[in-house]
Amino acid sequence: MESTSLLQSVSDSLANAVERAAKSTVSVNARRRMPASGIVWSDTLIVTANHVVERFEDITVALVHGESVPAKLVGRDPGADIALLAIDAPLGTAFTHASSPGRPGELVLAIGQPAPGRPMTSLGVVSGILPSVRTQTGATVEGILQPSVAMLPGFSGGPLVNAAGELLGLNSSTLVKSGAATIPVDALGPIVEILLQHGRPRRGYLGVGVQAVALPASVASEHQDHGLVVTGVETGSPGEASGLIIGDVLLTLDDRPLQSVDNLLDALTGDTVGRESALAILRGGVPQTVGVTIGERGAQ
Amino acid sequence: MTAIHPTLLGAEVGAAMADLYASVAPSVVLVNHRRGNGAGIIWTAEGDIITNNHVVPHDRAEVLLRDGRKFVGMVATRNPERDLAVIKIVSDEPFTPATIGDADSLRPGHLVFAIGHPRGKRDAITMGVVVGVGESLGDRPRQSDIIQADVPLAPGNSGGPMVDALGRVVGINAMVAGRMSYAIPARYAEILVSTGIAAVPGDPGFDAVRTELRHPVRQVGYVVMALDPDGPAERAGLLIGDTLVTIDALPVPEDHSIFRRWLGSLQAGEALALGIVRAGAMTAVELTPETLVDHS
Repeated sequence: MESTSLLQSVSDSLANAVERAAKSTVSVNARRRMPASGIVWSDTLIVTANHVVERFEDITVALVHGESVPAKLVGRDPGADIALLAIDAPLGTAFTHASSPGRPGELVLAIGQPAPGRPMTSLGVVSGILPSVRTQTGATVEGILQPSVAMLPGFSGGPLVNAAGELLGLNSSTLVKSGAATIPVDALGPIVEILLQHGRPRRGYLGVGVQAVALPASVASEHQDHGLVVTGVETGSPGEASGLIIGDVLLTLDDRPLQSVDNLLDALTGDTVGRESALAILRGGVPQTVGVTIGERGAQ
Repeated sequence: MTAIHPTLLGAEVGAAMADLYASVAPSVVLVNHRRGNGAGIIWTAEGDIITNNHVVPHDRAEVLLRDGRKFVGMVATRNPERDLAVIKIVSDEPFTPATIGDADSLRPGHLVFAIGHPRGKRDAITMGVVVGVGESLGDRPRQSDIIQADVPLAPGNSGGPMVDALGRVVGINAMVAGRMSYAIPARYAEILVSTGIAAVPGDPGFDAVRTELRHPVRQVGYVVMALDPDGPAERAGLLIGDTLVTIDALPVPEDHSIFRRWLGSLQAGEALALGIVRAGAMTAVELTPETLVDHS
């Protein structure tokens, strides 16, 4: 194969990928500045970045100039910088998800459509993948991609696609301090589900301040050598209602070891809300079990 | 395309990029002036060098070729409006001209490469893609006439080539803003070199929207919606409601965006023969676009 025609094929194939992805990328008009971008998730759902949604009403989305349709804000997760919008009639084509997640070195394209009917793009590679990022709400997002693409004005909320134009994730210019960050499709799905059901990220809430401490040899085991000492109890919190007091050392929540603050945050998933849980603790050096009804963060 | 093992394909693509660089670099020159330097493109074998107007503040400029030869060239023509200039250098031996391409074939996502001397680094290549094409909403069409790309550029790239995947010069690198780079479409350099006349963008003084006519024949037309007061179109006798169907005896483009691009690429002083349908009958109007006046 002649090398120049090979490069031309690669070039055409990238332009085709942009064309394909543009059919699933909408313009999202929900702020005073220029519109941003959004991803066609399904016939009735658009996923975009939370920080580009500055108002609750008069939100419109558009695929081609002149075909602007109203959209309703279904829910938002400020921590993960995701907002979910609903539309009445299908607009564009729901994205085809990439069969494998982005790999370092893979060619990727960021797509933006701040002006409907005028797709824009920027090329880069996956520079790295963040192992795990904890958002403000305590949830973790695994596998955030760091692409070397240029996040041009209006690109936030739009897709990162592979060289075939398939969806790898949602781009945000604010999620990570330096440069572009992409929430991978695998992490987007569960967040979309929760926003659809609850309208906001749902997280369990205990209402205690804790710090990791080494356990005394008499209690430490092969599996657990640290616990969490309670350093504060919020008034009216589930922790207070369960009788937790400062100085208690938390050992397990429903048999999940609590060795670090991250362990506790990870244990307080959305589905623990309202659950009757068992906290194994040390109080005055004596093992005890305390029953607690997990609350919902942000609901108190 | 024949199936190639993915690893080999990557190597092939990498090698193809190196080939592209090797084919374009000999036609890229360094242009020195008192306060700095820029790049230039060998446009013809006779020694016409294209660069940015802002790269050659004086009438003489030092031109360094990749093969080490050094020339003092004279600025032959300038087009400040498009930020282009032609420097003429003379030698008994022919120069190695670049292959010239067409920016109109570019789509968002197409690969583009810039070769220049960013921050003094000689003959460096950078890669990116075409970010977008077409005008901003509500803008005058001629603003579409710039290539937007995400190719990293720096001082020293000015006046150098932006090439497509086949190594054809599609634009002349001119500006950078944030991570967006701008290049002037090659056709303006071509006009400047071939005619020696600075092509001045022309304003026809009308705006029109696409329609489909049924009479006298089924065809695409563009209905005149607005006329600039005392503009070229109004003075030529064009009326609101006239439907443009031919330009210089050729049918108007079917595609609206091509029509917009055509409107934006007119040259001042170049007369156009317009075929229009008025009140159901064909008539002809001759219109000469004039230099754009900035009303903003």
